[in-house]
Amino acid sequence: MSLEIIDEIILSLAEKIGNNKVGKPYFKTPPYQIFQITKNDFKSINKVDSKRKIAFIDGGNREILGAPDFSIQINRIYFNTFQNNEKMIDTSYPVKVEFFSVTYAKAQNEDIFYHTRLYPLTQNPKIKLPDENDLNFNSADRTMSFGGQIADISRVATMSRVLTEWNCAKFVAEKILELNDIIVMDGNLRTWYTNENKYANNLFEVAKAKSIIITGLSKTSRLMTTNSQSLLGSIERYARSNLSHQEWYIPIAQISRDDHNAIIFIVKLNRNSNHAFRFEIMHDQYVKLKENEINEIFSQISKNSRDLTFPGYPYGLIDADHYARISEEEAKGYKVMFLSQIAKNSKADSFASIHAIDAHDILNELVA
Amino acid sequence: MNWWLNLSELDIVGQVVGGNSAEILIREKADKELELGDLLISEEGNSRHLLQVFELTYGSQIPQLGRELMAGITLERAEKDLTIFDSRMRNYVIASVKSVLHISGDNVLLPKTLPKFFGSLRLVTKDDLFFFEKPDNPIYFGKIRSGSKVLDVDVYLDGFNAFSHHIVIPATTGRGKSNLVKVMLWDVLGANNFGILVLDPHDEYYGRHSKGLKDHPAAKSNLIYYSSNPPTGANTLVINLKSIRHEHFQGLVEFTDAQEDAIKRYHTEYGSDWIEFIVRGEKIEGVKPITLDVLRRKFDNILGIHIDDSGELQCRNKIFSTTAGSTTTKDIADALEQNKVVIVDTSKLLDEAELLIGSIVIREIFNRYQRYKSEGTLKTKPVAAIVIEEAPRVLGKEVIESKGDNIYNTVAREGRKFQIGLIAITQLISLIPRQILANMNTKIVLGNEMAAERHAIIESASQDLSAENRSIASLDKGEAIITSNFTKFAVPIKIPLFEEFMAKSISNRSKNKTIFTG
Amino acid sequence: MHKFAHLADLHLGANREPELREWEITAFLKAMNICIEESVDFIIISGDLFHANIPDMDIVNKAVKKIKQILEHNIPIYVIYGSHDYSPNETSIIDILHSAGLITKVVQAVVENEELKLQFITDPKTDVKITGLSGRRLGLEKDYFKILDKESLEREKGFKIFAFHSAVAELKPTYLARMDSIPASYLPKGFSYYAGGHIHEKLEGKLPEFRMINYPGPLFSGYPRDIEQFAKGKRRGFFIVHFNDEVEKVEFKEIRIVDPIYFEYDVSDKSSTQAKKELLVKLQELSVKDKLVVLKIKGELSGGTTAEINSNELRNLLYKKGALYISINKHSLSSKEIEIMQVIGDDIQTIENNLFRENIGNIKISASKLKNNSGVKIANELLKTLRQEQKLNEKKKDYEERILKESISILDIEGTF
Repeated sequence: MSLEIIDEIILSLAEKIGNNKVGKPYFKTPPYQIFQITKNDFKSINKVDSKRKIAFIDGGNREILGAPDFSIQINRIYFNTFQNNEKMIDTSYPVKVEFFSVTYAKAQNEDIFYHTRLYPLTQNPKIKLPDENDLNFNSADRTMSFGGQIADISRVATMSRVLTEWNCAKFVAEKILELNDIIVMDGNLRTWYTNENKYANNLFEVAKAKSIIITGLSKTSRLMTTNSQSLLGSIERYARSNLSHQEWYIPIAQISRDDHNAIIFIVKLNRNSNHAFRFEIMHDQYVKLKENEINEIFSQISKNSRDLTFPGYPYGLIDADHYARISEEEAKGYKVMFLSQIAKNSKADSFASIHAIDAHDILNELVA
Repeated sequence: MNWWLNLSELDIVGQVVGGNSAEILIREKADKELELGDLLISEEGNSRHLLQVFELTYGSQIPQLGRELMAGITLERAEKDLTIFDSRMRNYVIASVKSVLHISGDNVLLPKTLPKFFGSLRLVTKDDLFFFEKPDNPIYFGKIRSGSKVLDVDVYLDGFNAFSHHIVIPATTGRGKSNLVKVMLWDVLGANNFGILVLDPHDEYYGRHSKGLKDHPAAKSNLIYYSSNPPTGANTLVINLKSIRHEHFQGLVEFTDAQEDAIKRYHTEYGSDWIEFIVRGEKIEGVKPITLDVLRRKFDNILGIHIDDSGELQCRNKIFSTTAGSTTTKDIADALEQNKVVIVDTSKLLDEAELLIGSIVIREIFNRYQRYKSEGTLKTKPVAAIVIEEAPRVLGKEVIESKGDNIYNTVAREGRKFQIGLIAITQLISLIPRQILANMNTKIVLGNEMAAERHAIIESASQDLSAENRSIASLDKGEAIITSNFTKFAVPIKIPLFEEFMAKSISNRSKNKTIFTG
Repeated sequence: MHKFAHLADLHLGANREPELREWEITAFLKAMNICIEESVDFIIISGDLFHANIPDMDIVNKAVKKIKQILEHNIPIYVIYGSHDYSPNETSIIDILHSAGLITKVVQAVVENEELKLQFITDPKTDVKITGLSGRRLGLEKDYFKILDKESLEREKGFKIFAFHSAVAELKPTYLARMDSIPASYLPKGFSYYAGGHIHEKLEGKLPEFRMINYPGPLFSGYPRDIEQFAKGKRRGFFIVHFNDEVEKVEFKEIRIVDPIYFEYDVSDKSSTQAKKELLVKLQELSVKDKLVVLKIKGELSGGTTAEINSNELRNLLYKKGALYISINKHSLSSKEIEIMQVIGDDIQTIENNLFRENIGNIKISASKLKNNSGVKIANELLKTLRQEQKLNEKKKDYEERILKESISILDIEGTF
């Protein structure tokens, strides 16, 4: 390939993305109230002593066996709790819930519906699983389908995990945390999918009653600015050039709606970090917080973001991701067990559709 | 499966996380600091595995590159604000252990199974080692060591077996081998069960100027010391030339054919005075003057004997005489038969003279014990053992190849049949041929920083020490591993400091008042 | 130039047979005459002048007469106890002669702070300083050597003699390897002369730091073994030491009272009849007139008994040929026909010793001093004592009491009776 072509691409792109002006956050769908981004709006995170505990929640799932008409998944939702930056160990309550979810297609009234059955690995888990009725979806559900096609069954299958994360947060808020403590969800506080709102609101009600602050931090963000820049990238560049603060936060937008109740920040949690992140606080709670309380919240999270492996990203989420993640090996282990049992089962023929795997997988195998 | 630890069990030091029968992997519990050589117990219901740590490796949930980057940040940016969260969970030590014994009730066997996967381990305690018993004819070595910790479990070997099957003590300088020998002989002195001959080239065992075996309460009756300048009560080391026979030089001094022939002629002519007449230069038929001259010089070099200006036979080292020392060899052999410890101070002698004296005495005892065996009375005699330092001088491959067999390697090969053993001390065990080492069934391994020597030790050990290379290199002064046909496994021990050890057994005994008559 | 005579182990009264007794006293008288002829300045006797602490008075009488004569020539006699004429409570003949002024005991010692301090006595004629340690039963003088204050002795200046009655380990002859002994390191260093006794052999020993440790040996015989050794060629006599500030010359004065002859015959692979026949022929060929004959018969007969080689017959033959005295040693003679206990040893003393050594382990004893080597020593001493015969003019009651007293002393149980 010609090096000249590469140089051409680089020059062209640099012109497009190298705009030093920060611009304004761009949200496609109103009604987000957008804030200006000026130097004065950046607040330094001042470290203060605090007794607030922080709980971090994350979930993981992976398909064990699948076909166009069913998907068996293993799901795990995990949380941890930090006090004075030490992970709390208390064996009186579980810190995770694991379950198999089986999503299957069913034809109803000339439509394809997806139903899910849940199989917890322990009996009567304290962290409640979602109602299976909330996991019935029409394959044409617009919150799940993409590009005009019917919703992919494996995407639908992830809903079990998504709803259980909200349940887990609720459990933590009810049973573990106390007044003024903080919950950090992995990702933002917006609910995207059918029935998801119900679960989020369950959490919010409990949190409001106990004054437990609900927040969310996103690993990645595709937010843009009005001058077509990456919002995070622009703000980081601006901060580097204009600020003396090394750890800061800046509100960029807010919204108070059923599916999204949050004030959105961009935050840099550690001076050694190369990353700024999108961070949200539940709007209804935020408006009642004083300036020093907001700083205290950021201070607590910043203090948790000093791990050498990933400076600037809360260790609680690193830990939660580690323990919630389902590795390929683990999933393979389950797969072997399932296939083994299927082979022994008299109804093995029913599983012929396992062989109807995506052509991509075949090609991947060939390349590997 | 619960994948978190039951942290209320304070004794737990680790958990099995993988490996195989040659190398079981244990994750160390934070702050427990397992050591190389630690002995661990895995409980298996009604039985236990005894395991031993032979390697320690860092383990981490953070990939290597990530750790290197983290180190870079703290080193290069001098960043103090960053830390490692949950470090105890994410960074840890993986101990490689091997199973050494399987204990089921009173049965102690070599292990054939793995310990329970994910089973918790604890440090060994005294009660676990109930099978260490004191044998009938004990030699004491020290206490069981787990890593650097010392357990109150005494380690003995049965002296009858250990001595007659030979003992090797491989160690480099400063690792405590003299201390070890003194500790061993201290109890032997008191028990009065064995005859021990100590050829002492550094005069360090008697305790002429410091604490030593002379301080034992039974020393007066059970310890005999020979030296060229003996303190009061000790014997003068003097050997009559008539006691020396040609065969005593075998394998120690090389003679040409002409010299051998000359020696035979002088022996025929002068009998037991053969050396004296050679040194005097008495000519006899069939011996060339040049051969006689060479022999005279040789005996001057080896024995230090020459004729002075007044025609008197003199000995430079005062050891060899024509008038004294007629019974020295017999006296020493008698003493050994009477279960005494005999120390011969050879510090003022050159190697050859020292080895010659040893050769004379050992031949005497060897001949006696051969006779006893043929008479059927050997069992009534005590085992005789000889402590020889720098053993490759007589047991080394090169020495044997160039000079032929000597009495020392004869004892090493055949002594067992006649209840005579060697206690061979050496810095260079690699120089001793395998066939000889194979006959030496107890090795007390002290620290050794030389890889080739460790390799030789491991190759010749009675147990599989292939994983102990690092442990041996890290043995501190006073720490040792006993590998023996007479131990169930390679036993790590801590040898007590002699001065402290002896202080415990010396009580203040009131002396009887002496009344003089005569 | 001065001179002194060094004698030891005379064992006057050791022999029972009249011929031997006669030779014994004759040797003593001859030695004293030589001392007079040589005009020695003094005489040192390093123990066992007599064979017992209360010897036969006849022997004592003859000895005292000669000693008086020596004194009349102004030759003092310096004496220490030996292991035979020792007495713990100063009731030995030595003490009597010392009290009578006939001899001088050189050992003057006191124990201070567990150290044995010896005083020198000074010979008035020569200013020679003499000290020493006596012999004791069972080699117990070793205990005194262990606590001897050597330093003060070593510091003393002048010509010094140390008299002692112990075998020095480094100087023992081979055939006496098993003899009780002390290491030379027990002796104080730096003396001009060490006058030893107890080893029945002429020995002139030299060790580093001990210029001269001499044993003259007996004048004739103290034990049967001595007679055999004499017959084999060992010289008997005493030393005359010439000195000024140091020893200049040591002369050995041989005493030969009778000419010996030693004959050894091996019966191995012969029948008793054959052996006896051959032996008689060989003995006929010997020239034994006016000689002391020692005949040793050894080996294992292939047939017949050892008794069939009749000692009386052999003796008669030799006496007929004019032998003055005959000693026949059959201890190493055995026969295939009769199983007798094999005991190794060339003379009775060695045999007895070996018997005790071999069997002591078979006896269950609790007292530690009766076990092992010390047990053997005590057994030997006890046997020697119990063997003693009633002396001439000694009442039976006195004899029994004497034996009992000595036995109790050997067993060290004085307080019990």
